[in-house]
Amino acid sequence: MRTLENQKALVTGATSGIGRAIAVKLAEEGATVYVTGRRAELGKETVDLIEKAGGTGHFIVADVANIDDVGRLAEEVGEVDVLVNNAGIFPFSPTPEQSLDGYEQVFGVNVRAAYFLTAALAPAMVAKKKGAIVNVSSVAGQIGTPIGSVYNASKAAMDALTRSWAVEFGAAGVRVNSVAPGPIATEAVTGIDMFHEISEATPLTRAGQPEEIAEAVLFLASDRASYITGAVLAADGGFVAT
Amino acid sequence: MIAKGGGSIINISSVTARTGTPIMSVYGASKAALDSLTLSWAVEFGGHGIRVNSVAPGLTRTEKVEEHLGDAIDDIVAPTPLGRAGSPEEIAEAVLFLASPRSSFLTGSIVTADGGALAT
Repeated sequence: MRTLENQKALVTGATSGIGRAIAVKLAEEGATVYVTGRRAELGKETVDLIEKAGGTGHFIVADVANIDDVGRLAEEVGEVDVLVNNAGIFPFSPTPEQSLDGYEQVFGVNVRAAYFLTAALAPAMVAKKKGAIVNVSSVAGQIGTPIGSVYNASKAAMDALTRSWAVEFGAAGVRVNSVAPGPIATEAVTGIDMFHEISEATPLTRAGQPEEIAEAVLFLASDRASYITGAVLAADGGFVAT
Repeated sequence: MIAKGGGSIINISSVTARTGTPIMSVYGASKAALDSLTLSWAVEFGGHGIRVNSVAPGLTRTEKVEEHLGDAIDDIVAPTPLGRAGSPEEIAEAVLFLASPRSSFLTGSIVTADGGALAT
């Protein structure tokens, strides 16, 4: 039996990259997957991939940087069994040159959107005494880097929310975990030299594939992870082990 | 494994590696050492296609644990987020995930299966 049969999932930032791979993976395991992002053409492509894999998908356009869109998204999706907070942006800047707008954008997408989407959707999970939330953070949340101060802080914030939500919703049987990816080969990063340097320096000597992160998200979303909550699961080719 | 070009090593650790207890200091230290080996072996063998990870269980309801702790189990786990001990099968699921190709990008990681105990 497929591990997410008859369940309903919402994956943010699912128009490309890791989010798309997660959406397809959850659908392969039987979930009806709500896909969201800013780009309607790409969202439709994700739904096509889901249907080719034999699953059911729906696309809802939303820019989670906009708090009103977050509210609308939650209303349109209604109740879910699985919420994957994957939407994230990663502009880098030395601290003295960081713009205020850029700072607020990073926290707005990477933290605030996940926060208020969870605030809207967790109560129904609590009422049903069942649910799984997976936050896609990053191993960057655990280390310091020269030009990633805002991004890294936003990912550390996400892991802290994982812990608090695990405590807050645990009595209702709602599990909340993070997957912290290392370097993953998506379109957004393959043009960046530093990305390749970092990937080759990991113990596995390579970048990961989006599908490998999707497997970790699937595991945490499923009942196979029934005793796992408040955890940060690093899927990083050993990056933080060094 | 090196000769075969791949493999997966799973070290069964414990949450006591990362949290202090009144009477389990030596056990916790031994598990912290095991987690350190997980990190070093991941670095040492990663180039050979061998993945090395830890599973860190919280309080798990095994025969021995029930013998030693009995009713005290409920008191210990009541304040944790899931409010209960784990079952051996739940720990086995995490080990299975790490043994399988589904975890192909995981190495040097610690999978904590503790009902949220460390999150508090």
